Amino acid sequence: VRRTLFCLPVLLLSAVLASAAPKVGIVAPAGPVEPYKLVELIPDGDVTGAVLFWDVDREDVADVREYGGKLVFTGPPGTYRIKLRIVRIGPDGKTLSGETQRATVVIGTPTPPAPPVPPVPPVPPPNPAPIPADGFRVLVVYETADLAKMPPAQQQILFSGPVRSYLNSVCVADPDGKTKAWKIWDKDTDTSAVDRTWQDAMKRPRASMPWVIISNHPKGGYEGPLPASTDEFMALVKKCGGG
Amino acid sequence: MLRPGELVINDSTPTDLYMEPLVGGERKSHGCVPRNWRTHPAGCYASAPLTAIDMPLIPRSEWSARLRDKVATKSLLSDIRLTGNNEQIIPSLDQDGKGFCWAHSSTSAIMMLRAVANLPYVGLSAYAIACIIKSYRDEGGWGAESMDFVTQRGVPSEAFWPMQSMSRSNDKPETWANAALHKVTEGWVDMASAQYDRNLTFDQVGTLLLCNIPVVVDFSWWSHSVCAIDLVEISSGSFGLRILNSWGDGWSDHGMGVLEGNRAIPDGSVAPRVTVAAAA
Repeated sequence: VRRTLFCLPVLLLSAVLASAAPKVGIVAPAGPVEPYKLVELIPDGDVTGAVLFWDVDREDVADVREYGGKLVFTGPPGTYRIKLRIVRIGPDGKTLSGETQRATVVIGTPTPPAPPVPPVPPVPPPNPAPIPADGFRVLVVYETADLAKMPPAQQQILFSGPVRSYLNSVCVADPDGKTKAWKIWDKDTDTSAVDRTWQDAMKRPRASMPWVIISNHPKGGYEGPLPASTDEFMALVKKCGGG
Repeated sequence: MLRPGELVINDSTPTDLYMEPLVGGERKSHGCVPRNWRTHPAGCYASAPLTAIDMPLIPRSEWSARLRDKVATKSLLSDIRLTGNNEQIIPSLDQDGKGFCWAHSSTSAIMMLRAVANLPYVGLSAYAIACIIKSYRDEGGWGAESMDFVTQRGVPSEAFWPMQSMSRSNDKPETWANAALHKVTEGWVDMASAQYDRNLTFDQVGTLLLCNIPVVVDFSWWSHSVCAIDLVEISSGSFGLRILNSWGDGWSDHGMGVLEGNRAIPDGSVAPRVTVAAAA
């Protein structure tokens, strides 16, 4: 590829002298070229006495050679835009005439432009553990009088054997030494006789009912509406580090 | 779905299996006397502000599907009982020949509520209730009497009032301080007699059981009060009650049996909803 400082004078003079120059085209492959095959481009017309400047737009990836007035190149699959400038010296040996021809060569199957990469959402910092006592603890709060209206799939969270077994396996021991640190309590339960940890957990504000607090202090936790099914509940427990 | 070895009591069940039966060589007793609805109508107990269940009935058309789900997910109260004692079964109470079934049924219900909440198993002494209410006499009563007492004073653990003890020495301030840890705190449901609408009564009990709320049920035909813990579909569209009796684990299936048909319609029923949360 020839990078030349002649470009500017060529452009300036071509407008003045173009009418006197014979037209030249480019013979180029009509369709896509098989990858790794050489591409040859030939001036189509009389270029006797003319100076030819070939230019390939993707010179950073293409391997280009010029010889005998031809351009030969190869490169990775893609679309290449070729420019040929023909400059002639007038009979007086002083004036210049020039013209520019363009061609497009496709190597291989054109690759569609890569879709924009969606921005990666920032990773939110883990919610602070709602219960400031080390270990994994779960508190489900509900209203007994609403049980009959609660969807059966959600009600199962409160009573399911597999859920209870799982919580037994992931929660720390309660101070009573007999049970694991998960509770399923009516919102009006009198907690004055239990460990302060549970009293404070029951005092936390709740925006709706039923409600769940999952605390994995000091790593983080969750507090919010009780999920709609045991599958969703278990997924939430695991997401918070339970198992 | 019935459990293996579970006794089903219906009109054709031999009476010797459930009327003062011999269990482990001991003759079991009852003790429920018919509630006098004229002197004690529904709503007469100040601690039971709810004279009918304050939750909508779950229609019978939904019962089968809900029960199938509960069986599949081991969500029945009987399932919770089987693991509610530190992964072991919560033992059934034993009234030991005294006519105190009406106090044991309420006490069993409190113990089941504690298991649902994942409070540790504590053996509670129904004798404390009966001895105080009946002044240490072996007398019958009905479930609402004992539930009213539990709401006001609670029921002590066996550490303070040993099971089956009728000693007056148990009646100490510290006993009742402990009993207060096992009070019913939210108004219990005092359901009216089944005399006029037996289907409604059964639907109310069924709804509560589908919500895992144990129900104390009194039966005049049995002269007995027990704690209902599960609704059971015995055959397609035919439902009964799984009860937790107070004749020890030697009766039927670990103390649990099923009442079917007319035998399952209670003459009085009460349901505690919330107890104090306490570890001891």
